[in-house]
Amino acid sequence: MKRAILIGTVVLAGATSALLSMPQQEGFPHAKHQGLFPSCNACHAGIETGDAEMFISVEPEACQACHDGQVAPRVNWDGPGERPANNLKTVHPGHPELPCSSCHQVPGRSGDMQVQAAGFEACQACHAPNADGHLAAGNDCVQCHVPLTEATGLTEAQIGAFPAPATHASPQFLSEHGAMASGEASNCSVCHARESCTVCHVNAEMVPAIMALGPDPRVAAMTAGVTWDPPVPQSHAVTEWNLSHGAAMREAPNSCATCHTQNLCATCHIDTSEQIAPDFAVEASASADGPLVKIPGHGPNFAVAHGAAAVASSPKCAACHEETYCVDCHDGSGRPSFHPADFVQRHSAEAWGQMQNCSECHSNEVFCRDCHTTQGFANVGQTGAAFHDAVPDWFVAHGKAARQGLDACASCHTQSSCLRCHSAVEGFRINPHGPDFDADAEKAKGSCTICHGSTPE
Amino acid sequence: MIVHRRTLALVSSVLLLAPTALFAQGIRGELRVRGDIVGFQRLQRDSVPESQVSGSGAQRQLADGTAVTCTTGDFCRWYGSGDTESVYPLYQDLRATGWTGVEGLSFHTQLRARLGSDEAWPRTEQEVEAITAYIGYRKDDLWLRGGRMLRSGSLGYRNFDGASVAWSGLGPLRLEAYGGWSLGIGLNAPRNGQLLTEADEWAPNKRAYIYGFDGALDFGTSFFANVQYQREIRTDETGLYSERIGGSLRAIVGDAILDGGITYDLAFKEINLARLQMTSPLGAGFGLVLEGKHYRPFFEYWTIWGAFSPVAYTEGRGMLTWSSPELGLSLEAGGGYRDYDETSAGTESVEIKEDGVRLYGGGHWVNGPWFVDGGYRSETGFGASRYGGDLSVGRRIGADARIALFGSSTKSFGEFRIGEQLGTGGGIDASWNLGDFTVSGSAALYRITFENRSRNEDWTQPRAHLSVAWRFGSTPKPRPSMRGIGGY
Repeated sequence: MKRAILIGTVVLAGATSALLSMPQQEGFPHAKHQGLFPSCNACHAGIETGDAEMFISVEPEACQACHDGQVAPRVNWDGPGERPANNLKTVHPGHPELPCSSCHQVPGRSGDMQVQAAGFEACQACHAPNADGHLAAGNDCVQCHVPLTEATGLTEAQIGAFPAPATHASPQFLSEHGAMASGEASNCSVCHARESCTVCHVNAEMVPAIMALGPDPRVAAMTAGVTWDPPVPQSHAVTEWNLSHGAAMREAPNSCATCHTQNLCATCHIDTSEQIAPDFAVEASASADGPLVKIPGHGPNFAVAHGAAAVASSPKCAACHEETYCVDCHDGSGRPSFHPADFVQRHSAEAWGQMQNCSECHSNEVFCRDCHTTQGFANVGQTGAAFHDAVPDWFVAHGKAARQGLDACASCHTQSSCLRCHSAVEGFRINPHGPDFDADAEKAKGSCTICHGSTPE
Repeated sequence: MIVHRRTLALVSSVLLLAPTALFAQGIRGELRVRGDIVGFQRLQRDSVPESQVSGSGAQRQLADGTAVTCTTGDFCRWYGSGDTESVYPLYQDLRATGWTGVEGLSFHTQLRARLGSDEAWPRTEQEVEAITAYIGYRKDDLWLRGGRMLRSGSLGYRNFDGASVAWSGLGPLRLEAYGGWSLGIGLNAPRNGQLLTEADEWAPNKRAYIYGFDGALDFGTSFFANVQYQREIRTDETGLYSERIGGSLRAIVGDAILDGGITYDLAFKEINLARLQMTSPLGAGFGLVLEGKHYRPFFEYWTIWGAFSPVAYTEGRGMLTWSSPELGLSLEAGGGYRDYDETSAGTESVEIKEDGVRLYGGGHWVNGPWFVDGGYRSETGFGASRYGGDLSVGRRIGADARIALFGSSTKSFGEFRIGEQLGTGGGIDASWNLGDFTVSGSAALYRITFENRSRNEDWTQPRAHLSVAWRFGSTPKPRPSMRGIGGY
């Protein structure tokens, strides 16, 4: 914002300065010639027609008619030189009924030739009689000034020295200038060209008020290499802004589009069923490579404990994450990223401790047991336990371990392994059911036949 | 080569649609090929006649100190080191999303091909599978999908073959109904498919229908909740594979975020998971996470495990975090204690721990292009315990490349086995975006050393991977991670 204000201030300060420094017609002493000329048109034939070349239409020879060294001293005048560059409109043809003195009379003096170049006060006297100065808010700049792109004679230095209207110093100017510009775009054009806006507006090509400004190579040169580090709007500071900005965007999309492109949106919003921010600009040369933001909703431990959020707010998740993002961890054989390094060697403690539910992603039978069997960990039908050698009388003790960590047991042992002892129709016929077992759990009776041969009555 | 008929049909449908999409509004996606080298050492059971081993009882030692388990009159057995081998799994993933040119109509697919050998690494027999392959149509508040799709619900993360209809036309209320044919969890294959039937003698011999309902209340960021019911029933309707109901909640109260969930097994009438977490900033960069959890594993009804009366544990967990954006530093430390319900099993003469403790601490520091990520974790309990740490130091090179060195050291013990195992190692990891391609790879060596297991030989395990991903369409390129390096 500071940079934007700075640029605006410099440009507009320059404009005022340039206007105030317009060369006055000091060369011709009008007052001394009072009464000699019946009308202004004699020397300024182009006034009525608006022909700038004929603003001073008199030839040097005409002066010599009197200034011949006898009637009057000779003067050395070679005719009108090149008019100094300015951005003033040719306004005379629009004021045919007004006498010249209306605008050119020197204040406090009388007489036809008591004239001077018209200052902005002359214009303001009629066009903005209540305005508080040349640069006051509400003044219609284009009444007197041409757009900057047409004031081709002005140098970059002169443009850079334009004065800034008071409105530009307002703290709210950054947020309000868009509305002002859309209503007074032509006023902006007096000091600004398109490049003045593209420094900040990434969506410049989609803003009519900006495109209404013509391009200007001088401004392009002045703004080349200028980058803008925008301040973070107050709205962005609220809790969970990353999750709640959608409503603000829908309410004022143009405001967001000033700084953000579709590319930024696409960094997170990858919902493939609808196009996000279709009216935002697209950076053709940029990737969707957004800022490294810490998503407020994704607190510590979110990688592990995101289930509830993922479920309850799945449309919101889908705005930022494609399903394949979930697959990367939940079925991530192609891109393991969830587990820490060397997890293949160290995972047993996590599996027994059940910090996460391994079977949420891995098939116990096909994934875990397959590997454990191949590696030699799993029981593949041998009798004579030897693996759990740290626990004496493992056969007697294993029940407790099994009830506490049955899913870990099942990562090595098949159901048939347990049925050797826990079947109701063969083997030791040891009842595996706990004291609170609900034998009437009708819905799970499909598995009863495995042990009982038939569904028990 | 295993190619499931349904997979083939789904893939064919998608490929038929793909050209339409290519010449219509657009398509985007990624093709990724990843190859790994994983060294491993099999355990090998060995034995000597019981009569040759001195001592008595089941637990004895050989002359070299090897612990053996003896059966009187039979053999004394133990597990020792087998041969060192390597396996080379290869994965190819193709994921694509396309817009057909008809407003609201899109297709989505992720296909995976696995090459290798099932000899040593799970599921690397030649397989082609569809993780997703569905067509979606969204218009106003209605979203229709059909094919093989993924669902994240209060009951977990599942894919299935079928259809779903979601409607969100009543303010904050969102409703969804879905149904079709069930797939094995984590398998992308039918219930009675070859994968499961080969793995378990009692695997389902019938496919299953799946259907469910999902309702959610969404009040923006302040509150959203979800309830889900889901049932899986054999296609001959002679039994269920599962029937559960679950709920999730997320609410922001002041600065605190409440996040919880519950799942309930309707057959055994047991709560499988009840969890509530509160995350709250404390000021000055500090944050607090508190969590309570009650967990009992859920087993599908085609297994006998649910009838073995598994018990739950109840856990309290806390974590304190601190971060300073100015310093680019974040730290966290926490711990948890869990206690298992009474099992009414086992004997008092043999101690099996009934509780467990988790402790962890870590930090992440970013300074310009450099980053350091590290942590320590201790996990003790019944069944297996470990403690150890990880450290990675890396540098981002420009916007598109990263290189990092990483290492870890972990001591594992208490696996109901005599002896401890220390795994220490590290390696190098790098990734590089090259236009529409990303190349990443890693190479690491881990030294595995054993204590108190005479017949297990120390050895060095090599690991490496190389991955090449090609993005097409407008798929964003990934930003090189400045976080800890994961992997196998």
